[in-house]
Amino acid sequence: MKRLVPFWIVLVAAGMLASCDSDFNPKGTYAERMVIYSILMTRTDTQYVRLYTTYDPPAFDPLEITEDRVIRNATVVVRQGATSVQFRDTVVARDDPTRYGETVPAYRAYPFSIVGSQTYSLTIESPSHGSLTATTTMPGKGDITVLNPFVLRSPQSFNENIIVSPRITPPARGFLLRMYMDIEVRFNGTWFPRRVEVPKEVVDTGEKRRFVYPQLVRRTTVPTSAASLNAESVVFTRSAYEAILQELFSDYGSENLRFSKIVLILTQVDANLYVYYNVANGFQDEFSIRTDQPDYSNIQGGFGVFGAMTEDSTSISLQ
Amino acid sequence: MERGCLRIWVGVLLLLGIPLLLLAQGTDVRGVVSDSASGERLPFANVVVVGTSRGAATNIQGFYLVPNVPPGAYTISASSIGYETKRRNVVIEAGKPVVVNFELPPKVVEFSEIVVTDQAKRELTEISTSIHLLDQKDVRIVPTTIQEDIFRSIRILPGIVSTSDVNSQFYVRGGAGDQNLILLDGIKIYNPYHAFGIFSIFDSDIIKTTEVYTGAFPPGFGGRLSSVVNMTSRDGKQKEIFGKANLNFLSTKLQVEGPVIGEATWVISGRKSLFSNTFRNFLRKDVPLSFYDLFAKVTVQGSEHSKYGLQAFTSGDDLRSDNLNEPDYSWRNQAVGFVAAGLIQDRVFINAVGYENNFIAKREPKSTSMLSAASTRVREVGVKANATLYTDTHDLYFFGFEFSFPSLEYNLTNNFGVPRRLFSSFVETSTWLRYQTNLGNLLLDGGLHIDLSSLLDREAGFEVFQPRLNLSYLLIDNWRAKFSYGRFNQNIITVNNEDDVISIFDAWIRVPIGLKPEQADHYVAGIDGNIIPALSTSFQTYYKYYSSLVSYNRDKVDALDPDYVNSTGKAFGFEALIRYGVPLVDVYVAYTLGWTTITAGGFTYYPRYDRRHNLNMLAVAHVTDAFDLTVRWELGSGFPFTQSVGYYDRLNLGNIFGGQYVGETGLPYSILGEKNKARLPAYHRMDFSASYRFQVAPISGSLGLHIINVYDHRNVFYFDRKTGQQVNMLPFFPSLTLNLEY
Repeated sequence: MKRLVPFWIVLVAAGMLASCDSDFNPKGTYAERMVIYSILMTRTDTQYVRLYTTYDPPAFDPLEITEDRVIRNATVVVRQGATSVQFRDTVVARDDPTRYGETVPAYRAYPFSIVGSQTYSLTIESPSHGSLTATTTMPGKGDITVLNPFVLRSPQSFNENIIVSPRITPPARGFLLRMYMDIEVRFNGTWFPRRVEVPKEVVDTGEKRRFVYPQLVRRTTVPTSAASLNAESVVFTRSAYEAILQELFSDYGSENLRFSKIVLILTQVDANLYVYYNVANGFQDEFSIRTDQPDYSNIQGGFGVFGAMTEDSTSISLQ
Repeated sequence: MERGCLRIWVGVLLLLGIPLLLLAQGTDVRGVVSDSASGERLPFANVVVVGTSRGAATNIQGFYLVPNVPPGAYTISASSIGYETKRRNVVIEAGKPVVVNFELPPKVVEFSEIVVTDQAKRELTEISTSIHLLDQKDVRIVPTTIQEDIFRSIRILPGIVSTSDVNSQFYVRGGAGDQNLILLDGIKIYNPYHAFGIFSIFDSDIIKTTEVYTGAFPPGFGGRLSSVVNMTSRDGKQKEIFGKANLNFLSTKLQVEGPVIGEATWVISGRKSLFSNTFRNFLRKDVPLSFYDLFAKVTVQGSEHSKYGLQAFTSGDDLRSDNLNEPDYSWRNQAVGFVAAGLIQDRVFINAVGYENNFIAKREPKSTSMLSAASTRVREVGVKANATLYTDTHDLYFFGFEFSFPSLEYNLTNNFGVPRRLFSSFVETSTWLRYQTNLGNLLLDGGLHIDLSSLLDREAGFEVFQPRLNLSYLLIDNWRAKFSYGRFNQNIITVNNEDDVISIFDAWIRVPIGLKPEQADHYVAGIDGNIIPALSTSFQTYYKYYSSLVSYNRDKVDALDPDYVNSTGKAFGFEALIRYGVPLVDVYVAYTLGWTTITAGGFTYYPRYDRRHNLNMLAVAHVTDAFDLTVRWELGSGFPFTQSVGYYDRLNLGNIFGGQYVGETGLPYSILGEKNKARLPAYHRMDFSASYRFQVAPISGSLGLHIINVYDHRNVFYFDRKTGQQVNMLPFFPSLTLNLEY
């Protein structure tokens, strides 16, 4: 049996580990951090900052947490050059009250008009959570040119798509150009104003047609100087324009419709908002086969985004 | 085209070999070595011209050729492990080749022969650093999860790790799971695993031999970066009809084989799972899993050394739960192939295969919102031919070509809710030349593998020329120092979520347009030999540099950015293999120390299959001629893992352009720590088996007791980040098997 010794050694050595079960916790060390959302906008003179914290549910289900982790008593200041604006506590209505209740605590500055092409810095100082800063540079004032406006007034007379050339300012990383049609609709003898978005394309799948509306896209031009405006190109197909007109005629009847004007709205966003928005929304890539959900933040040491967007518009009369 | 290409190669090589052929003054001795009981041809048998230094080993088809034997009277012997040695006296005259075939009677196997002294195998492996040869006897000595399985057996080899008990998928020297080339008689097989990978789709009883290359594989194998598992199936018994049945808790099997008219043989083998009943009754778990597989082959032994085989197999798996929140999965694999082998000239032996395979996998999410519907399909038609040219000087030339036409399809509904279909159909073409020579103490095996498809289609550059080199230098006694180098390309990959803890559904796609094919360089150095006759050792160190891999584009922002980018990686490590065998006990110890990293977008991380330490120990005690006890113990350090470090409510800003964002609540977003920075707990498990062989004429059989995870260690399989539920691998699990052979 001497020769069986190696066999027994293996058996006994392995058996010594019989009670070596080790507990395993998939959670790492939790450190509470600040979450900041603030998008500075030129469309309004009221600016907001949302400020709350991360959380660590006692078990694993995050929906167990039903109390909003708001940070109160923080000093929230936005600076631009020598000017600084302090934000104050406020509450706004919550879109979906199911989890946290009816209101959202936030910080508000009013009146606070944002100026294009300027750099703003956000400073948060909280007695309980320390301080954070982030910066953003506002896009400047954009410009919109419709190269063939006659198609909008009489689409059936021309065989070409509607080409719009928005001009983008250097700080903008992306833009969204939307087209709206302002109309009046008659109900019971009274004319009511309405605004209808014009799709960029119409996809006819045979059974039904689907409208495709403009999305936030990356600028394709490279800024040549800090002051330069670079022309992009956005095409609205004539078939989409005609399709939306057909729908209006079908819904209301030609005698109950009056066409006022076409309104084009150009939204320019800075790099922070552009990247965050895309990453949080599946890269805005309908062709992606990625199944992961990455994250992005320009808040050093925290989460969320401090970004900026500007809006410019122009209109073309349809009368 | 096939003939044309072959003629060109033969012409080139004959030109190269003319000076050698002109020196020929003797006669070639050639033939086949086969099993006298079954008629099955025996690879890796030794044929020696007694009293001379001349000899040869049989190739995978059992064929040997001893060139240029001077005229005279000789005794020629043939031997192989598990068989009695046979000798034949022959008189060799100048001119005409002499055909000497051997039929070796089987004898009782001594396992110590297998693990230590299999001389023919060693001769075949002594030139390479990273090759392991397994036959059915090797597979049988590894305790199994109830049923023998090729892929489970190769997991004990150094350099090979698996991420779980319930997965036969393996990772070789830091390579990903899709970097292994799996061949059955030359037919490429995609995803050769049954559901969850508990078994491979190949019944070990139909596999005659398995060559496993864990790195630096020779010309003739291409299209994968890390390893080759090259299986050769059995032809079936030539002398009698034979049946074998197996019943165990997880599956049942029936195998029948025998001769047909003339020199033809056939073999049919089928398996069907019994999972659901077993797990429900014994583990009180509902595992709605089922599989089947069926293999059939007809072989015709032609005149002298030629052989033709037609084979087909099909397998299927279904994982269908009654729970609407659990997705359903299904997998199907089919292949058909025609194999031909034989001498086409006096000294040119050819192995050729034409095949078609088809792999389909589907995922049905049912009511769960966490996953989307997806399916993947691979269909491939191919032809491969490899010729061996024997020379007077015992040098060997190998040359050949491969054409295949894979069609890859991947359908899914992406995160955007848009159905996507990725389809690619293309040609993979390669050709190769390999040369083996013996320069005294130095053995050299080198050549060039050329990836023509990358050269023509991807406008790739010099990297498509893939040099391969193996050097082996006899130091002293039986100690050899070895070095290997090889370059490898891969054009098709699997895609899955890199952050998933386990991956059940892997889809095959072509390397996206605009990216370079994956590429790796292997450097291996080692030394091996016997310390004492009963104790053999092998020590190797490897370094792999991945100059091109395909990884997630970490900088992707929008639709203009690609999903994937080229990344780089490296793997390096050390392997030790110690085998000790005496008549009563065999011990096998394999240890691997390894590091693997991938660098993508400037960020370096450990892939999820990076394991620092891996130790496999196997001890077999031969208590009596009919009774064996086997213990296997595996220890593996923890795999990389990304920890959850909290949540925050992430706003999608869905209404930012329409009005406001301040009122949005957001959805809980799991904050992950640094990718794969943490480690799962170490894995260790002991298995035990006792096997008793009996004979009740005319039936022979074996009764086995197997205990998986003897001390019931709770090895982590995966956990659900959302629920925190931890799922462990196989618990203590005893089982009985009964094998009957008629």
